[in-house]
Amino acid sequence: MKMIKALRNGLNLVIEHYKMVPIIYVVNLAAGLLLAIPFTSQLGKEIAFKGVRDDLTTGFNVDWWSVIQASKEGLINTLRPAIDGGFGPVFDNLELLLSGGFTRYSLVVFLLTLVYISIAAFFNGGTLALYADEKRSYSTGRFFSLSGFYFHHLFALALTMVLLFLVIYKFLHPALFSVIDAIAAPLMSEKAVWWLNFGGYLIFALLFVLIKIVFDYAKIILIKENHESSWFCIWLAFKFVVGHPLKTFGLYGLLLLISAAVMLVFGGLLEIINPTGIFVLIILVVLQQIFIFIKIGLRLVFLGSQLALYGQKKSVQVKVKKSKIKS
Amino acid sequence: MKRLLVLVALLIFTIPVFSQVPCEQIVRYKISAQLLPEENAVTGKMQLDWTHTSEIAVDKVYFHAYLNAFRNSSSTFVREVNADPKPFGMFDSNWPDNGWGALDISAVSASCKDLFSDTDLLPSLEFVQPDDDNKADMTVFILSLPEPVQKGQEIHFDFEFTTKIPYLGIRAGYKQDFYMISQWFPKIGVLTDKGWNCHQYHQTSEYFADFGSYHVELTVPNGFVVGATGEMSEPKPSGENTVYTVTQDCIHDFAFTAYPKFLTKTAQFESEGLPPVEIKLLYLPEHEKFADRFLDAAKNSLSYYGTWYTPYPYKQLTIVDTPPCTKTASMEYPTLITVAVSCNEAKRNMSPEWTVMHEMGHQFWYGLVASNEFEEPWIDEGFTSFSDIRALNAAYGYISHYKYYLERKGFAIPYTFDITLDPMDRRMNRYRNAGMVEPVNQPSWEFATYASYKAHAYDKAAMMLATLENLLGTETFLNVMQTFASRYSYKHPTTQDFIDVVNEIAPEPMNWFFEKILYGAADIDLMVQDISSKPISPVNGLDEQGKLYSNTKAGSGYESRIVLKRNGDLAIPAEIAVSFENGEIVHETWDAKDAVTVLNYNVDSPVYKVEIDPEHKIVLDTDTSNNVRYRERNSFAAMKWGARWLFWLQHLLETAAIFS
Repeated sequence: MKMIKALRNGLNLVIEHYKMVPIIYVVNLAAGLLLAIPFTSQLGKEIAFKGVRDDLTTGFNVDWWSVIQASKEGLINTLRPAIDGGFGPVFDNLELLLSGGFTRYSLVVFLLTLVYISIAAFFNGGTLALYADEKRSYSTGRFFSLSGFYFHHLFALALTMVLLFLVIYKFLHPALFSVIDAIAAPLMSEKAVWWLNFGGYLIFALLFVLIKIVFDYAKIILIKENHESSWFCIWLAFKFVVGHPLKTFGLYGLLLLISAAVMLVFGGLLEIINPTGIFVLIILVVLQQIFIFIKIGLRLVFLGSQLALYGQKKSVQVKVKKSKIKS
Repeated sequence: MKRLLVLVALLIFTIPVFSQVPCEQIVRYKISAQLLPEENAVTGKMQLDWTHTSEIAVDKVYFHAYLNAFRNSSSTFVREVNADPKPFGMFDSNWPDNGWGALDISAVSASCKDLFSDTDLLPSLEFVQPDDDNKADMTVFILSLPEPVQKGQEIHFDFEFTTKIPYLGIRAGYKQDFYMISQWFPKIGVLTDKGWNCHQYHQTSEYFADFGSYHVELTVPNGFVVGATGEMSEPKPSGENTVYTVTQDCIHDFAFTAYPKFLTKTAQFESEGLPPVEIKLLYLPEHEKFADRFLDAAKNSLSYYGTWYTPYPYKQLTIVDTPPCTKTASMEYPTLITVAVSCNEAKRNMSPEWTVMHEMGHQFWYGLVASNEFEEPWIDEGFTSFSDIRALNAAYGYISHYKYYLERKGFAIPYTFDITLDPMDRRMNRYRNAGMVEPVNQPSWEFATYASYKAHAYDKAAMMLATLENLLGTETFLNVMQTFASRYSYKHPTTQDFIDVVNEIAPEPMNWFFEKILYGAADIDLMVQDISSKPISPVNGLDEQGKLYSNTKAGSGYESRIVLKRNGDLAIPAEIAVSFENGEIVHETWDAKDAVTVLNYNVDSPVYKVEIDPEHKIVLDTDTSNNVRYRERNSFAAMKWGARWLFWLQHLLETAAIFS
């Protein structure tokens, strides 16, 4: 029940401070356009006169794509059939989370991703500070000033998390799967090998979520309790998560389920829309942008709900202390 | 009188039996072997009768000892694998102690009528390295005879040997209690008029041997399910073992498999005009859902290849569905093929069917038309790669584009896209990705890399044959293939033999076509480089009398200029379709001899579109996306994919925000 309550409170926080979402969305869109415009221009130069444009209007041309992959450089090389539809792009990005390899597509895309993580860390400060503020007053100026105020702490946390994940992708991930390979090597059952690997990914995903949750609560503790040391906040967050595994993981799981449901709905919609004319293309773009907008909103719901859950815990502790004093 | 009658009767009954053997049986193997699972070994006694059919006398006999390729890390095979480990993985220091493979000969003697009798040849046994002089390689040995033998003479050999099966060996090997045992006995080389043809075992090379008869008795512990080349008689129990007797005429190799967990399914192939074949499938319990697909693909192969080329002449066929990660799949042996499939197959990937159809192709191009796979691998691999796609298209049509998420050894989550492909596109993709252009016809081990070997011997050769079919027309082309198959069944044709058949049947010699592909490093990419149309300018100037004039009427219509370009050194004539905006289409033929050709038109309408090779006859064209060009720009497709890409990137950025 506490998880539901935290979720409801988190949702309310996002609604009360709804003006943050379009700001973050605009930043996301601008970052996307920064590379999408040259990408589209490069693609246009490649296909605007060629017959392959007909195939790409109605579907895809794998043969042409393989020529591009072998002969062209630049952003056009990141084009692939998987970005068609609604599920392919999501699966591709989820695969990156589970396997690392963020530099797989393009160095420019990777660098933009790093910049965006920094910007997101910047906004996290303002978001959490406003959510934690019991006055519930919002102004865009305050949002930016609070973001700036906490930036060095949240950037340090983000940097620590990125470095930690770098180590995990570089060393732990291969080590985990080399153990799995060693166990699987003598097996004759294909299904057993499959499930063993699936188990490996599951362990990795759980570790991933654990670290993510710890760092989320570290941010919350840092802002809510005005700690100066980010490292100490990570330790406190770790203690909090380990002390309340069901609630913290449960809430995160619930939020993941909601995200998955949203992805299913929008992914499904984007999957069936295949524009061959400008009108349907506009509808597609609008739907895509609504999806991204909701995804950003959901990220804030994650933060708000976790903040609310942490707040519940603290208020319980305070009540207990007060009742002890009375008695 | 009675004796005479009996003799006549015997002659009457035996003549048809002999006449049924359609090949010259140069070798007659009689092997008695026992599988020893606790030692991962096979012990054997072998009698070989070999007929000398060459014009030259020989006092040495060459033999293959293929499994010595796995004897040490310095063999030519392992060196080649470790130098280019991507396809098979490294043979490294982690190789288990008992994992090495070997062929050890403990006794060998020979007899030849009137020349020598029961002579011990073991002391004369010497390993030689005809290809690379690598002294550590022990995959070829010679035996020195006491006297030279001449054409028509026969030598009888008696061998005793032990074969150690390599752990996870390539093509042959074991894993747990699964055994795929091929190239396991001393196998005589091929004596040609130029001398012995007996190459070392290479990473890329397969085999070359004379046709003959095999009579093999296999003793295998009870509990194993056994499959083998040839016709198997009823197994006979013998204590803790079972004895399987297998015989087959007119083949050039013998392989067998044993695994307790195999399930068996059989089917009968029957088709009008083709001989019946009993198909036996040995499959893994986890692959129950693929069993019928394997059998169906085998039947389709027998039907198509039997009709297009020549009927499959053997009474039986064994398909072995090998366990995963054993490196023994996708191989062909006479009347036996090995296949592999993953439980995670993407939909319409058609991998089970494709594998069967490929290996079944080898039953014809290798099994029957037995070219030299060492020296001219493109013949069997190229013909087979062409055939599998032709059969796949005929039987199943398109395949789908797919992606395997989180793919790693033994794991993948398949996702099939709503994008259809011609299977031949995959061959072109692989060829392009190899990034090399070499002659198609060269010894297998001389290709620059394994990827290049595959790209040329399999893919480019297949595309060459597909282009040849389009150039000749299907009827003429099938006539070529049928003639080649029937003329060279049970023989060892060369590249030149095939070219000769083509030239014999085609309306004009095709040497120009083969020369640059098979012996040169030529590619072809035809493209429409530019199109321009402009209204014809008014004609101005001075007339014959020197008076200034301007004739606007003479300038009506459009002046169009089309630039065609050929990249690559291979010139193949192509059809050109020029579409005008008024709907008119003009067809031309471009010989493509010049690297650049300009077409000019003065007609009422501007050019709308130009298409080179509209029917996609030139399958060898390395980039067909530049074959069609419009005069005017249209950016819709770029915008559409730009929007898709933007969405992916925005989603990626938001996903990465997890790390913030």
